[in-house]
Amino acid sequence: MRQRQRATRERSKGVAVLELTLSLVFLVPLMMATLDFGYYFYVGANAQEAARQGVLQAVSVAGGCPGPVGTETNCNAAVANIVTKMASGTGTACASASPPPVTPPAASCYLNSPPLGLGTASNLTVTCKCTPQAGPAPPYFKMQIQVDFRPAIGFFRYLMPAGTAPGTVRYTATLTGA
Amino acid sequence: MKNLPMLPNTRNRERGAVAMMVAVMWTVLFGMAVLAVDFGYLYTKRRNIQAAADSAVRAAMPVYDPQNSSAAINRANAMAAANGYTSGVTPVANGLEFSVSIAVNHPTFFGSLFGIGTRSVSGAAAGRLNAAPSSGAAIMATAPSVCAASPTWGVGIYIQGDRVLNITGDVVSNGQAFMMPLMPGSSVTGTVKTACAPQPAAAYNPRSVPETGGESATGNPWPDPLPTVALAALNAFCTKGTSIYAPMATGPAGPLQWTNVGPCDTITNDVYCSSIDIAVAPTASNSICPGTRATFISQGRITFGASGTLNLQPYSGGPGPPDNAIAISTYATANCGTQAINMGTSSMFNVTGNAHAPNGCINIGGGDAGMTWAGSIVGAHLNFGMSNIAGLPWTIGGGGGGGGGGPSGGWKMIR
Repeated sequence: MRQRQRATRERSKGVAVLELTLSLVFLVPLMMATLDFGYYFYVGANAQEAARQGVLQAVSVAGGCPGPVGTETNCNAAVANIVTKMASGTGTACASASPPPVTPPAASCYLNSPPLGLGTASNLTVTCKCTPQAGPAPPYFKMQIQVDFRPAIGFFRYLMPAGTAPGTVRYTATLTGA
Repeated sequence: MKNLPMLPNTRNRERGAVAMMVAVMWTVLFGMAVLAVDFGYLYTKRRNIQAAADSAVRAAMPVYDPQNSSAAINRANAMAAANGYTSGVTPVANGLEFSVSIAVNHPTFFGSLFGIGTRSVSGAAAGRLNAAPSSGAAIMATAPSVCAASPTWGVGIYIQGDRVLNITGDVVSNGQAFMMPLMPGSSVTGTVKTACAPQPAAAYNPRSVPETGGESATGNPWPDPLPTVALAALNAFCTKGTSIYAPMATGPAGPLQWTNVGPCDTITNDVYCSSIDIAVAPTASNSICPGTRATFISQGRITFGASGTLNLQPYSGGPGPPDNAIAISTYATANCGTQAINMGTSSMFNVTGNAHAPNGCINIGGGDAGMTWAGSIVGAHLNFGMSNIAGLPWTIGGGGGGGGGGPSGGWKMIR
């Protein structure tokens, strides 16, 4: 009788292990997807905010558009300085810096601050265009921020746009404003 | 032996337990996936939509006119389209407020497992025009002048012409205030504040223009309602021309370049500065296009001249001049024999913003087709020579211009 009991338990244990294994085949990738995509969109939300701040600063600093009507032109030096500041990754222009910056916080603060710390020249590209609309309208500015970063796990990185460096993914945030 | 019958029941009770646990775990984990992936995705979309709505409002507010919001709506739609939103964009004009909301349906990745196939993501932003200058002065002559039995040309406020004149706000003069619009129907909705009050009505208001607040000398001399214009402070706003301390080059080499866009000309939205005279005259069409924005600051005289419509609004590219001005001249004149700011057209004035010449005369003439001036005109002396050709009224006052964000007029984001 005891032998029959032991045999039944052994068979149950095998079934449980099998069921668990089959479950994990689906559960583990699901967890990895959660982590990978969660982090991806977290970086994306910050990049969107950085682009928004970049446009606001470009408008306030640039003044008029130096280019001819209807032609995209790289922004002037004042805006380029902001872009440089964004790419430098020093974070010295961030509101949390001590002492606080005289100028408004750079857009890069949204990418430089912990826990992201992404604002380095190697993985952050900022493109600033100054484009007057056709006709009597003020110029508008197009800010595009491309962030190349390593995903949280990397299991699902092939479902995300690839970055330049191997193993990295890219989030691109674009905003146009006047 | 007693336990033997229990064995099959035990096995039956355990059967399906793992499946149950897996089902529960899957529900929880899929819920986490929905939170992380779907809500993360929708949150980034919402950030983008909110930024696009902000941009649309910021683009529209400088041209927003509560009486005619079509230009602001067009610009808001254009800016939303530039950010990729061509549908679901709703601009709303409501008095001083102008808002833009954008709503877009986005599909979800895992949410469909819980019956959430698509989700509407929306963002909204709104701006509000600031109120008119608190002083209430629509026009003001800051310099003292004679108070004689009959008006003296070229000092204080001197207005005449065959035209209806409607002024919303106060008429203020630290000297005389003479108004003789020849057409019936003229009005002043504020008070005529003149250091010469009471003035002989037959001489200074011969057409009996109704003055809601009457005439008063109480409180004179009245201060300049627009901010003090120190040269160093003004110089900080210059974006074109070397500075207010240096002459601005003219002609093809200069910064004031006109671009012809069909029936009118436009110039770059900038603050143009010079230590000497600035002449502002469209070159190809003799009209300045609607929507053209620029501010002119000079230690010399500033002249606006055209045969077509003069559409003028202040610079809007950032922290602009302190008083939402279309023109600031520090040039000094004793009377209107010479002018610090001189404006003339044989067509129409369509101006939003302020003209400021604290030390000199502002002379405005012509306006055959009428005038709509939303803002203040403040000079040491004012001389208006309204056209004798029948046309639309001259309407002055009722709020400053948008753009630079100075204390008088302008606009601000409210959400």
